[in-house]
Amino acid sequence: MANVFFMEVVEGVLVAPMWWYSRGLSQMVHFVMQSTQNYQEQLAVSIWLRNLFVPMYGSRDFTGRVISFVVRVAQIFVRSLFLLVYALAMILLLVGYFFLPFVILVELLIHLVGVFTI
Amino acid sequence: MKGLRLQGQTFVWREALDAASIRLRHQRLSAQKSVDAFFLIVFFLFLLPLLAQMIGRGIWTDATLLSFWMAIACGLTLLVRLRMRGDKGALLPIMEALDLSAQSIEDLAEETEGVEVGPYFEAQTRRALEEAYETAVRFKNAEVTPLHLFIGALTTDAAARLFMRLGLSFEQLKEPLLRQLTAQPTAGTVRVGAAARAIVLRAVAFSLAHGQTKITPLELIMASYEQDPFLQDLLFSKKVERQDFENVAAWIRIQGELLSRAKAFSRAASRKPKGAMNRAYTALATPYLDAISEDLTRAAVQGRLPLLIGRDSEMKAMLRAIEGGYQSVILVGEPGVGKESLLYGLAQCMVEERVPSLLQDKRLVRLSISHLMSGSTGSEAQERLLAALQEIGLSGNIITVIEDIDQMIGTGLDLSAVLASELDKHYTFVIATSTTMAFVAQVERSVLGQKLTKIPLEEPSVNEAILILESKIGFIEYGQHVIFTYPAVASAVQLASRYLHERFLPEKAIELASEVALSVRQSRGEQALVTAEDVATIVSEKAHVPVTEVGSDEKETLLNMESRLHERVIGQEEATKAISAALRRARTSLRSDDRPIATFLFLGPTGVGKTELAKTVSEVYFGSEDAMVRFDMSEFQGSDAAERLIGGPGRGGLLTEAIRQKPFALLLLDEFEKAHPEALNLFLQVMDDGRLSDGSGRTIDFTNVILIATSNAGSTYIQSAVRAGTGLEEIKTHLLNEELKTTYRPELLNRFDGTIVFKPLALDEVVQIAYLLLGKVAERLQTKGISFRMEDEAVYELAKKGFDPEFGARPLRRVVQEAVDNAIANLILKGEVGRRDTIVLKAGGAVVVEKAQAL
Repeated sequence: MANVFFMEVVEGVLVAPMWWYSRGLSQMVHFVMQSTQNYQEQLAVSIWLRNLFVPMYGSRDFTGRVISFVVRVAQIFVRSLFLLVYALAMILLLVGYFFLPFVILVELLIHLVGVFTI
Repeated sequence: MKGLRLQGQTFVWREALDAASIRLRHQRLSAQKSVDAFFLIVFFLFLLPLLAQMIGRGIWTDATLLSFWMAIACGLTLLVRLRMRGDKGALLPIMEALDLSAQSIEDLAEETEGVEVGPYFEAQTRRALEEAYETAVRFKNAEVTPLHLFIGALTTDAAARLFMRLGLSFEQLKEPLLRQLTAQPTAGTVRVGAAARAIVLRAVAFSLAHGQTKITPLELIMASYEQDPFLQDLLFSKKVERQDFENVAAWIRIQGELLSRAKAFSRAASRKPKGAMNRAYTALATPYLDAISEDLTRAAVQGRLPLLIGRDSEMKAMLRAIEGGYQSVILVGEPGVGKESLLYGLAQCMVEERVPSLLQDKRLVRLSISHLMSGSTGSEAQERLLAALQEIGLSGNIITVIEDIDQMIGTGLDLSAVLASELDKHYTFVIATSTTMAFVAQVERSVLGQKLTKIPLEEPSVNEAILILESKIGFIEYGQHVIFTYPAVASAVQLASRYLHERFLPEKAIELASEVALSVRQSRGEQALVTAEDVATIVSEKAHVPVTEVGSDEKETLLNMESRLHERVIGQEEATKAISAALRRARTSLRSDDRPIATFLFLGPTGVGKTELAKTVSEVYFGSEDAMVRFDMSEFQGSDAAERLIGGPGRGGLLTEAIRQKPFALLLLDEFEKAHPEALNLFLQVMDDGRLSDGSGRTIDFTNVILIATSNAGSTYIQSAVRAGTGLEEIKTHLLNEELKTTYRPELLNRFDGTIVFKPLALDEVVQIAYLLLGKVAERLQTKGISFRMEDEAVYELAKKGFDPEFGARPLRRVVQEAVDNAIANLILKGEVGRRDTIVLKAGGAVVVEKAQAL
């Protein structure tokens, strides 16, 4: 039993980082992509792009078309900006995930050295 | 090592299943928990200095920060460990259109290489396997067999759900299972047998076939059941057949599927616009249309529509027609087969945007014909329709649904031409529905009908309807707080299909189930179990026919049916025996389901009890004499006889309407021989197929009818033969071969389940009948508080007076009326008899009053 317990601790220490950079990383990448995709669908940028020249609210006269075009361009710009910010935040999250163990390790080492040098 | 080869992939189960491996796994499980606890404690310990630091507001030292980062490291490790455990791990691949019928255990190839299936087990499946092994150890069995796997899986939640639905408890299976376990070969050590290994692989195949990502205990139970004849016999003895077992397993899977579908749907619904505006902002407000319509996509987003189960091919056909050429479609099917459900399913697909691009970012709107037409003249209705269509055209994001489109055609306000011409302009299209009859009668040949692509919706089979009801039962259970067993679900569909005519599956079964749920909750309270017997009780009440299991009182009645019949019918032993036997067969469901319950031809002179026996049967079997539908066939001698019986277009027939309104009846056809030959041909079909098509093309069900035809043909021969002392059997043979040949066609005679000869009554029998008639007089007087007594001599005299060799007991009733009833009436009117007095019928015909003792 002690043997099994020891193995479990060793595994806990060794397997956890391995999982972090294999399955964990792939799940994180999937989450980032999925949530960006969801946000894109919520903002419907692609739908606005597809309908760039289609008049809004069925107003098919010239003025209507011009106004629609301007509004759509503005909408697409603002929505794309939101999407870009969101995507950047997501990428930051992914980078953070990737470097978190290193940060912990470095911090541990620094303070360990600090404790022993005093 | 045997393997399972499916679509080019090989699966093997190499993992050991023995005491050491089980012990090791348990040790690892407890070690895991201890290590988790270790990391949690260390995490808090390392946080302590940090807390102290924050409270003391001291300087951040390296030691504090080291402890902080150690806490972070431990916490993160713990989180990763928990996440890894919650992670489902390896998932089975998706295999499309897997056909398991071709894959049997015997065909397994000898394999050494392949994918190990162990990682695909759910935790519960693994526990079931271990339990199987431990059971074998407990009973000192030599091998783990499919039986052990089955017993091992019985301890899981999935098994509990399965057997609860089947209405079985473990206690009911315990004894035979224990006996079978003790009968297994014994040995010192236990090994996993080849059959058991094959079962595990079979369970893998089941999981793959059902598109599951993990192997659950349910598959293990199914595979063991499929391979072990003992288990099949055991469950068979508990009224569970293979199909039932599969349907319950499907039920449990459907529930899981519905849950995940509902989750996915609510995610998708959050993105769908709730108003009239589409996501591209091209639409227009449609105030006029909104006033006369209902937005189905909005209803779906709000979760007000039930999820669609099945009907994949019809949905594909509908989408194909729409996608192909902007085509309008019409869903044609009987009421209740699921036309509306299919529309709701489409609305849900549109919410999830799982539709062709033509339907994406659109809304499904149901136009209300009644709103369109109410209180308006023809031209007003046309204007309303045009206004609505104009809004639809301008908005451009609306798919129109028109239910029961036949209401638009051919009535006082015909809107079909307007709609047809608008559809020709191709700016919109409609999805319409109609019943089969209305489609044929009104839509098909109209201008509008030619613009609609027909998509037929057939009534689902009984088994399909069971699966549909299983998917709906959760809502009924939730609403009424009761729990359905599988036998209840199955019999709701089977009994509805058999006894509730005029309606169609699955709707009639769903409504029946709701009704049963309500009645069970009212009678037995919440959380009660709904059984097949509850369903049968409601069906019996609705259809006025006994379909519940035969109770002990009724058993007694059925077994003593002859004496029940003899309470009203005197003599005629053969007739009562034949009828009793037929009723016993019918009540124990041994009769054929596609013919009437029983068909008899009663032959014999008048006044011998033919009609009386028919009335008695009606009372005993259907509960009342009113359940008898009587036709005097001498009224159907003309050439229009058949038409009068079955009716013509738009006009019901006398026979078909009577049976349509009273499908559980005794159909008595008096003087059968006098009917027109064409009318007799109709009865040929009734006796053969148990149904008849009426003049409007409707099929009328005769399978719950007892048909009795009476006939005087051959009476003279019967009377003379009986007088000459010929045996009844001989008389019957002669009648069938000689006397009746000229009256009935042989194929008609052969269709009857029995031809029964009623012999002329003898004086003795007429005396008994006289007792019966006078007994009724006594009953009637009883209600007035007056007793009645008769002397035997007087009864004999009456019988003698009322007996006529030619008319049997028929004159007797008149004699009793004249001699007894009249005298009593006079006594009552004169006030000579009062309550508590006794009227006595004395020899010589005198009716006297015995006054009661004064009080």
